[in-house]
Amino acid sequence: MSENMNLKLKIWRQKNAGDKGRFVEYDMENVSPDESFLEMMDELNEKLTHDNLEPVEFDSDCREGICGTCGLVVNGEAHGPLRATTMCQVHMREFKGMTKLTVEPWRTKAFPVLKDLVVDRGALDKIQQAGGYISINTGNAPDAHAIQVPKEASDLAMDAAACIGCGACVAACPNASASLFTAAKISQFALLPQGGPERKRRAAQMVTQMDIEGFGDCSNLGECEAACPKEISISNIARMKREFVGAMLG
Amino acid sequence: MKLDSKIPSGPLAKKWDKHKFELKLVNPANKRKYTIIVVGTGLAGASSAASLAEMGYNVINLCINDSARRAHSIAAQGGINAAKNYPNDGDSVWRLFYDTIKGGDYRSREANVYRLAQVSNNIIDQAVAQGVPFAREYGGLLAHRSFGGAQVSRTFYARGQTGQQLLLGAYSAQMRQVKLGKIKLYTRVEMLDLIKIDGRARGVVTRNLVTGELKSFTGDAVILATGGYGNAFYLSTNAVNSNASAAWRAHRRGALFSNPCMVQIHPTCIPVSGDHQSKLTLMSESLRNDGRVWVPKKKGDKRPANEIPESERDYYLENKYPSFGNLVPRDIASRNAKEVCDEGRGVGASGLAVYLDFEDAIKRLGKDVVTEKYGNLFEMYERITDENPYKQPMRIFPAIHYSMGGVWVDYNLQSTIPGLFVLGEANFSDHGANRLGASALMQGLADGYFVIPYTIGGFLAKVGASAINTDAPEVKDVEKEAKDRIERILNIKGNKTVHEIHKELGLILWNYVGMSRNKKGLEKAIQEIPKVREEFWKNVKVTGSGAELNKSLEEALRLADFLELGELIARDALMREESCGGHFRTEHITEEGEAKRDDNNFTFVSAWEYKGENQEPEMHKENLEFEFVELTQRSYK
Amino acid sequence: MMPFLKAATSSVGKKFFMALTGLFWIMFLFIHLLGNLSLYSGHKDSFNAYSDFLTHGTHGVVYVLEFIMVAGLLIHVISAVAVFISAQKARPIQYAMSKNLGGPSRKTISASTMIYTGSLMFIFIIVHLIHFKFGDYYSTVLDGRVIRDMYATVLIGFQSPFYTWFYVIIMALIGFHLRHGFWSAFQSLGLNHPRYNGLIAFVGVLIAITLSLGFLMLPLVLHLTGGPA
Repeated sequence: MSENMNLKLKIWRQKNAGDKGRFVEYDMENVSPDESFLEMMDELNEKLTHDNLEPVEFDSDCREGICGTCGLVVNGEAHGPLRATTMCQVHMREFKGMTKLTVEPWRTKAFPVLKDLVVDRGALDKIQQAGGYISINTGNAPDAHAIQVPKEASDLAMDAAACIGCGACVAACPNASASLFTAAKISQFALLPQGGPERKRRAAQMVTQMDIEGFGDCSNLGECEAACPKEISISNIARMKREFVGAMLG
Repeated sequence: MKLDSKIPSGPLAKKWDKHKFELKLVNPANKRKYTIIVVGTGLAGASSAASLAEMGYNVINLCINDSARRAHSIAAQGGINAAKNYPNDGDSVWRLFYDTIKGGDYRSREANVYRLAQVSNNIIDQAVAQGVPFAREYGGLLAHRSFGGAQVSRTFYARGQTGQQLLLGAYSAQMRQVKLGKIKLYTRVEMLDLIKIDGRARGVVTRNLVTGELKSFTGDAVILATGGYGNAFYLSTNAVNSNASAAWRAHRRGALFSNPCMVQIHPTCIPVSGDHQSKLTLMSESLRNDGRVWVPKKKGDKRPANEIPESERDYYLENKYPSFGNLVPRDIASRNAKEVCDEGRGVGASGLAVYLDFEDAIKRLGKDVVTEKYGNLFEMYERITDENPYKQPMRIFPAIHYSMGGVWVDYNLQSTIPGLFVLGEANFSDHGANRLGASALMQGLADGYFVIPYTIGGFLAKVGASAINTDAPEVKDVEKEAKDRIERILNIKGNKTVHEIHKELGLILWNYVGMSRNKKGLEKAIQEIPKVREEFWKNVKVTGSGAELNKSLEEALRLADFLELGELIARDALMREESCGGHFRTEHITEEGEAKRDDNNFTFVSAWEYKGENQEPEMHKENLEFEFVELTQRSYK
Repeated sequence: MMPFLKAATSSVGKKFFMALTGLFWIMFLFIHLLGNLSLYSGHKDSFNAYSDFLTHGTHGVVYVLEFIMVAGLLIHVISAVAVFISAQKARPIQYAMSKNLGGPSRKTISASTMIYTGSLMFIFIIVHLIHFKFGDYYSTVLDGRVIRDMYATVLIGFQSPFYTWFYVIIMALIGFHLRHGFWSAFQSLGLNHPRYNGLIAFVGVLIAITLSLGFLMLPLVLHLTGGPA
């Protein structure tokens, strides 16, 4: 067992969407390296409650790295210092040797802060609504084996589909672009024969919606891929561009 | 109260078809006159909301999370069963039905389970058509595997993300309907109560989790697809926001609650590392295919695993169950782990863990093969525990995982409140006393895609469309009750946080209503839980206000309901004087120490009726009739 | 079907045309560099002949090309500015701390300074045109015709240390711009394939070094040696 840690936390506090917000510093002593970052935040909140203060609000749900609900920027890194990992799976031992942690919410105009570290990622759902589906009503499906899909295509589609919609790509992108998120969905369906009939319309509508939501443009910097807890490749962004250009010129 | 399960007559294989034909239909042009409220956006909620909207109904869909894609259905890793018989290995609808009934230890309805097996195939078709990227073989056809000890290969999977991908499939269909305006989706909204008018479920009162605003929605029917109640135990593999309040509020309004003691405990979870623990992480059961479970023979042996010689290790599952070995069903593996830890032979700092050792597997298969099969799980384990499973055995311990019990529903998935339908894990219907691997996803989607679209039509066609004004006094009354409850909690200003009190409840439940139960312990739990409840209402501390985002308040409201539900779990467990599936009473065991059912006296579903705060609930029985399968004792020796 | 203009001005459309125009300009730079090489030969006449051919010998084709180049440049620049503004608008509050994530990220210095290197290059192009195309006019006689002595303009121009170092620095920045720009253009066109990504990145670096050094050497050599003659 390694030694417990003492930390100074510099956390973004914001009462609501209208509030300007500011950083507040808290001390956390005797933090076990075996607890997760979010559990450390839980402990801070227990302390604050006992001190008659309002807890720091942050989002999390499954706490096993798959639901995409959690997400914080710690010391400038979306989801913290561990690659291919969501915030909830980062344990305090990753911060060994550090004394001060700066904790911020996802920052982009498209994700307004609701309170403290909680943001509204509804813009991503809107992109999905714009075309992230295959138009088939329940009961219309042919037998599953009526559609053959090459294993390579299926595997690539799964790589793209692994996106958990956490928004880390947007948070990490210097331009606050949602290209990786949008591209992952467009890619998944573009790779599968089932997605074929709607591919042009889908690419056009989803990209258009992405622009409407106020995300920045993609400059091919690749920070998104580095921050993505599911390691989704920017080759999907290239595929989205092919799909879109197909819609533009075709 | 007479419970009518509305099971259609006739041969098992024809029941569902016959029933579908007999259900009244809503004219296509009239569907738009009906409004259906769907609470929940997991597999059952999303699939039902999308399907009903596609049919033309107006759907109001309420989601507790920030997005409809987050529900805990996403956490299911292993797969989804279907009786496709693609591998030509002898599977059939009948076999899936039979396995599920038997796996549930004969405490579920034949007709429901048969229907589940029947529609299992349609689910795979539907998901593939939606673009769910199931694993495939080089020939381009679907891959499948044998899972959870099944004798046939019927589990379809999408890498380790089957639940996630199936939910995203349903979510995509749902998003399409949101865009078309047929689904009105409200996110970050939590149901606080059920509105009943003239005996019918007509709406729900909700709290906007961002602004705190209370708002009522009314409609022609209400569907609850709100998941299970595992979080009553505080520590479980459920998501931190998973709760039972919607179901419990419906129960308080008159919906009977069935088999609450049937809770599944999963054997391969990562052990608790300290007081800070907020939830438990499950690792796929597939680990037991190659990992060997053991503990030291000596009590309190604190040597590192590699210093304990082979002769001093007890591979207790292999020794006790020579034919199934490490692959015994979940309940048996869990119980045995608890037993050895109770004996003082548990490992790790807390002594609450057993080893799952891959040393032999690495020797036999090579490290590469082990990495290929379990690499991602090993990584996850190492990330959490900081221990390398290639070098030292994993430590595992059982954890609360799934609730088979839930709101009582009939064959139409309708509760005892007319117009209130309950789907997925929130109902009790299909898994009996124990759920088999890869069948939770199957049930959620079966209910949502292929059952409710038919059965709700039968109900709506009968009652006709009618609107309820949200200013109606019946609505306002329920709203006021909810408002008062919130204010009451905020005004307590006590000394204990919600988590502290929840931990107390969890500890009582885990110790006395957990993996093995006995009369004395259960009676103690029934005594202790009301005390914690009292403590809560006197001494809970929630800071902040009700008119803003306030997670402590959300959690307090949920805990208030868990504190009532917890007691019912204990009461149900005390009533059921037998051992079956997830419910293990130490008084009822075979000579070999295994679960012993009492089919003469307990072949029934308990259905509890709420009688008021701090009043003893009344139990009703739905007797289970087995026309088509013969009851046998499970044996894994 | 999507209206073309709407598509072309979308986030993906902008980058698509930025990529096309960028690659077009890279092609031009190579031709330009080849032309410059004749300066190294020290044959004043061959350089002047080349220069004269470009201005008078193409029967007006050069005007078309010039138009395309200017239009291309404007599209490139306007898109770049639009991308830059979109990024500022999309994140009105910056992070208190930020870090490059490394790993698969391509956020190098050259990548994150595109707008700055690009702006300087745009200014350079204007200065360059004023300096040479519209700069001091000297005459010379070649094959009995009086033509512009471009050779002299160049030679005299690079006697100024200010101009020389300005050129050298900008040419170095071109290398930075192209190091990210070349690869990025392929990505923007959707040309990304695991098999060729390494090659594209390598060629990008090669092009960046070639063009940068190629253009950078000339003013330096001319300045230091006073010209081959």
